[in-house]
Amino acid sequence: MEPLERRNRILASIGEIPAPTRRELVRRQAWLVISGLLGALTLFWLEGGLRATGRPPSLIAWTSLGTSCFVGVGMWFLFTRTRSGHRRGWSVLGLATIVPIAAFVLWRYGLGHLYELASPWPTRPGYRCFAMSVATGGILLCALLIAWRRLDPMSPTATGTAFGAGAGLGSALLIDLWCPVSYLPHLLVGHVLPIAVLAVVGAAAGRWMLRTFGRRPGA
Amino acid sequence: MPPTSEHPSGPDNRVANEAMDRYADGDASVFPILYDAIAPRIEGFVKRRTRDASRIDDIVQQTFERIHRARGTFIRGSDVLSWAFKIARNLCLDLGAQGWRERPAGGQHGDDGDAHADPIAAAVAEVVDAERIATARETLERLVRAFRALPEPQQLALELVRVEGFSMAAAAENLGVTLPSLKMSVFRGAAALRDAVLEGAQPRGGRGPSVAEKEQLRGTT
Repeated sequence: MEPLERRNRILASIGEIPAPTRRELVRRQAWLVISGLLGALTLFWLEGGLRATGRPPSLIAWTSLGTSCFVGVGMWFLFTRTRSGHRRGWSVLGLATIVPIAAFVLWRYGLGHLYELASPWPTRPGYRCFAMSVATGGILLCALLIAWRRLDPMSPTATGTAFGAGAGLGSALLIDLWCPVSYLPHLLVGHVLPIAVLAVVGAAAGRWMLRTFGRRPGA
Repeated sequence: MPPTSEHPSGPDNRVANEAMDRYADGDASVFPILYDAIAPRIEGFVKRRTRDASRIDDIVQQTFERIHRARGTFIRGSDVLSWAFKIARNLCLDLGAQGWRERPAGGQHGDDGDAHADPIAAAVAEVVDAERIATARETLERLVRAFRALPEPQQLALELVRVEGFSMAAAAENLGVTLPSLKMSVFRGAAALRDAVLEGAQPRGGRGPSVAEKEQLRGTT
């Protein structure tokens, strides 16, 4: 096909495909993400919200402060893009997930140990925390996936993974306020495993939901 | 803080990035400017992966359609060409264009027909020493064979950095690898190409490159 003919055909084709502008998209995404956050917070408060359960306020304050820092740094790397506009590479995404998780677990377990609250708690294996994490993180992840639906033509799987891991880290922050247990196996099952699950779900859903298509040939 | 694009700083790229910025804001009148600025480079990028004309057309069109659909996500100041190459590369993979390897690796003259069909090349060949032409052709074929034999990450790294003029950092971001990894790919790829040229640099009946010439060649790659 001649270049001019192709140019004309592409210009005509573009005019027929609806595409949101930057402003429209930001507005739509803001609404969806805020809705997701409110949904997760609503679930959190319905399940009891902040629960001290024998924890001194200083312990809650310190653990939340540390977790906020770790989660904040991780989410910044997961949700932002590079200077060229690309999603960060897999190695960076992996580090941005694993390092905050490791720091969170060490921080939480260390502080629990310091306050002598890290002893085994056999009646709390972590399944409730797991379910709560997956539910709150799942709401956030759904909101993010819908907000970015069909809008990533470059790396939808990486974006979905980043969203899943980021939503998992966000839910870890809420669950940290909710759960008094600092016993290591409980932390791994109830607080860390959901992040991995959400990242995997995000990867699969991202590949399916975030891909951008052109027009089908002949359409 | 808006991101800064630190590579291809040529006028076409500035024009393309500014046009894409305005296009993302909803100014549809700049799309032809954007198209004219990047379409030839996308086409060149795709042509290095497939020779099927209809597939080239399809990939170029789909690339622009995807850029259009995702225009709202374009970050102000980022690099639209880097976007376009990544989208085109994904499409090449999806549509089965296998990169330079898609072309037969045998180095048959009929497959490298562009050079032979060129009337200027034919005229030059008539007046220039035939042996030098043959040697140059052999060198080129060795180079192309060596390039095709490189692992794909090295091919892509060399292509973006050496052919398309991306900075190392921008190419690393485009390929989703770390900067040291990309530098290593470029270095190894260039070394393999250099070795391929040097290995065959013994002209028939003539003297090979001197040590100083080899060192000079190494220094330039």
